[in-house]
Amino acid sequence: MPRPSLRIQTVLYENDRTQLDRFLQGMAAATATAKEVGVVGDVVLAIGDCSSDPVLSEDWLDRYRGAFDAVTYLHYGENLGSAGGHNRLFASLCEEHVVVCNADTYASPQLLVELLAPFVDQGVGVVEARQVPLEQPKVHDPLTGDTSWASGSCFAARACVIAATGGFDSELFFLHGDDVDFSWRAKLEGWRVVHRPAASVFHDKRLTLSGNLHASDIEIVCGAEASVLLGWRYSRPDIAERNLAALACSADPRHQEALSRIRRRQAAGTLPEPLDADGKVAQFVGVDYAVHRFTLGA
Amino acid sequence: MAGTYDFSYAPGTPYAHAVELVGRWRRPGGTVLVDLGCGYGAIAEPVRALGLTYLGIDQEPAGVASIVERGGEAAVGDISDPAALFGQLDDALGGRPVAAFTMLDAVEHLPNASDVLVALSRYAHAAGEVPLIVSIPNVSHRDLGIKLLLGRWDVTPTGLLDATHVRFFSPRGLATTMAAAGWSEADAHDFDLEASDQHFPADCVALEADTPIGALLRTLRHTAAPGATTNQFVRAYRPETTRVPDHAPRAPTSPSAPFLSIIVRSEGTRRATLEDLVLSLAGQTCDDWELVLVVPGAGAARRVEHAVAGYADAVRARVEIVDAAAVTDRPWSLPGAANLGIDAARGRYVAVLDDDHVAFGDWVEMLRSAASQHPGRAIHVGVASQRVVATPGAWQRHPEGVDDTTAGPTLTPTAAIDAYDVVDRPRLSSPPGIGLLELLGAPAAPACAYALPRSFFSDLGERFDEDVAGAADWELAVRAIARCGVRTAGVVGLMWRLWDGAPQGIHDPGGAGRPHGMDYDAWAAALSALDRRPLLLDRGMASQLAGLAARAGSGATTDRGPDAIPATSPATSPTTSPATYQSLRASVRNLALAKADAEAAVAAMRASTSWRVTAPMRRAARLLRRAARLLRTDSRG
Repeated sequence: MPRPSLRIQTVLYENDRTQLDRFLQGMAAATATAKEVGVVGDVVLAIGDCSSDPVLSEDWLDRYRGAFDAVTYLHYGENLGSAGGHNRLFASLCEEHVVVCNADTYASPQLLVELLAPFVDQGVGVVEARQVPLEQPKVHDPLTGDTSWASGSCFAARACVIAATGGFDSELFFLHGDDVDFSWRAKLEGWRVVHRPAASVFHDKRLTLSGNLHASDIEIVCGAEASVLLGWRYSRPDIAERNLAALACSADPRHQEALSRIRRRQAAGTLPEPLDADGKVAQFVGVDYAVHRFTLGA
Repeated sequence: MAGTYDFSYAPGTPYAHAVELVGRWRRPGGTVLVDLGCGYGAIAEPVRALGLTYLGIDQEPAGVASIVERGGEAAVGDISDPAALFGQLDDALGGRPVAAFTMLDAVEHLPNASDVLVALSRYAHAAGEVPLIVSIPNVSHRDLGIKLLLGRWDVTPTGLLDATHVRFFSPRGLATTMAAAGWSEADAHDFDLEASDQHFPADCVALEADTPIGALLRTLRHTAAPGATTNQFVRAYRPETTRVPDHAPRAPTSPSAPFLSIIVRSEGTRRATLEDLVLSLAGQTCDDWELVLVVPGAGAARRVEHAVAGYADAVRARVEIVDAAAVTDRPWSLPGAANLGIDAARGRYVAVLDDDHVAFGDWVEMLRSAASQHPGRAIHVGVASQRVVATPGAWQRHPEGVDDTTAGPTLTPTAAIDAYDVVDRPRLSSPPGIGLLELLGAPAAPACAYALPRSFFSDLGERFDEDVAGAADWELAVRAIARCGVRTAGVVGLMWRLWDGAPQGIHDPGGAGRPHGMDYDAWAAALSALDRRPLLLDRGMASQLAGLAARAGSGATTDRGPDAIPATSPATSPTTSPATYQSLRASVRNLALAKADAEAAVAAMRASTSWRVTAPMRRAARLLRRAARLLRTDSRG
């Protein structure tokens, strides 16, 4: 029986090469382990670059060509955002599985082995990695791994799930919320989304000096925007209006920026068509998209 | 010259120590002891009492004449000429077998001592492995070191700084010189003096044991290296055929040495958290580190090898596993394991962690940055804690990823492994910037927060105190900060897990419900250890202490603290049993510690810039919540 092919893909935006070196070093080792264990056939690395100037060169990438069966690098020349950048890469996806991963991560040696293991179950469409040192706070079923959504920091998906969903909705989401939306649309297509604790990946998230999760301004803007858009998309206008009102009450300029973006979208008539009218997949729990074990303040 | 003998030789003197070594190490079959640079032959008579022939060689005829006059054998000769040494010895011995050589108060007078020792080693080897017994003054005696700090180098007619000495030896210098000359140390019977001939002036406060400065300097010297009170090195050596190169460089000066040695103590039983820790190190933004995993035995070594298997060569090359059982007979203990890790470490700084810690991405980078700005100081990072529960067997893992020490390969697609589940958000348990006073007042503060200069161990000779189990990490951190000072890296660098329903980690089996499980007894033992020697206060601490004293004074009448509780049950409380009294007293103490921790944490948080900066955000969050409540009310209405 032929071993399934795999693509590992990441999208860059003004990253430094040291970070990429580290990322690729980890992925190369994880690929070697997966091949040694025999869970993959060809492993292809695909990198999309949203930076103004190319971060990488073909010469620089030569050092990793031996670690993967093929390496492709696309400089887009424009900032498509994380969702748009991944979608551009998805367009050429011909492998059976794809691992979507941030470049500020480091793969554990067993990452790929463990991310692919749940695909033995034909109902599993998306497998989420466990992040170290700060775990996602959302719950997952301890026996089945089922979870509300898979973080785009690092997950594996079947290529057919990408094809069925069209990947991320880059028209609606630039940076945040795209993974929640993708997961829920995959579920609407009948696929399960599971969390795999043994698939660990280091994700360079940090705490502030007051012990809260550090978040950049753009992450806060996009997160706030997504909180409204997801409400509309998943037939919960009450959630969307609640969050919109909350943003309107906030003096935080980042919240005001999110509000402006939404107002422009309303004016342009580009609000999403509602899905999941029966509420089968979407979870809105407070301000979260799943039941959480704990909160990560930002 | 009986008077010379009577003056020089007596029990308990360096000469007597040397004769004892002659008795222990004399070569079987040898009949002659050759005393090179014999002076007046102080040991001639006791050597003859051992049944040996005494043969002295010296360039001063007066001493030689004295020996001969006393019935001994002696010859005039220049032992400082290595080329002539073989001939002189052959002539004097006339074919008789040598039992031992002695050089008592002689080596330090030879400008070319190394050359002479090399020649003698060759002769001794050829003559049938003849031992050499030396007596050499120690210029690293505490008295000399302290006086040198005071700008004094008092040359005297005799003694440690005899005006005729041309070579000076410390323990390390002696070892290096002898090894380089082809001599291997066989025995030591050093002559110690608490107060050497250099212990003057008599009223010098730095030399007195009872003054804080004197006690500090004594502690420093005693801890840093052996020989603090050794007046004379009295040693026996065997000739070696292989010479050690002179002035061999010390290991830590290797240019490939990393900035940080991360010492992790692990019994290899918590695979999941250990894997997370290694992963978090591999993901560091700065790779200038090495990992020293200290484990209690071969089984644990095999288990932890799985945690580092599969990583890129660049990562695996920076990992060393130290099997404690293979290098020491001492029973496994956490402070002992830390000491073994220190011994193996090569980095400029060291951090000691346990296998349930995990690092944030810029931990090493920020430590290195802070250390470059404040070289030699301890560097502190904020430490977060997170509550977890152990969930044995809860995680499914591909069978190829499971080693035979946990679950064993199976034919099923998955196998269960040990695991844990996070049940609470990370909380800051040690805010950045905690200093000596704060640490003294917060014994539960995680000691892993401090990266320490390795010089603290390698140059000052400090070690984890294996006698203060349960508080050794904290006690060492206090000692280190007192010696090195501390600066903050200004980040939250580490996180450690608080295990629900299980002991608080391998470092504190006592538990007792406190973070890191330090109970009163452990804390008291650690404090007692700290009290045995003076603490050094950093610049700026006078003001801090003054503030602390003022606050303590203002509350003295209303809150005397747990120290005011008598150690034994007062006679006026006959209804309380001694055991109950001690239990209650310990509880009060622990409550006081918890209160002090909480107050320190609140004070640090309120004083932090981020708390003040985020005040508008918190107000906005409150507004958001109110707005949301209003909206919910409207929709229901």
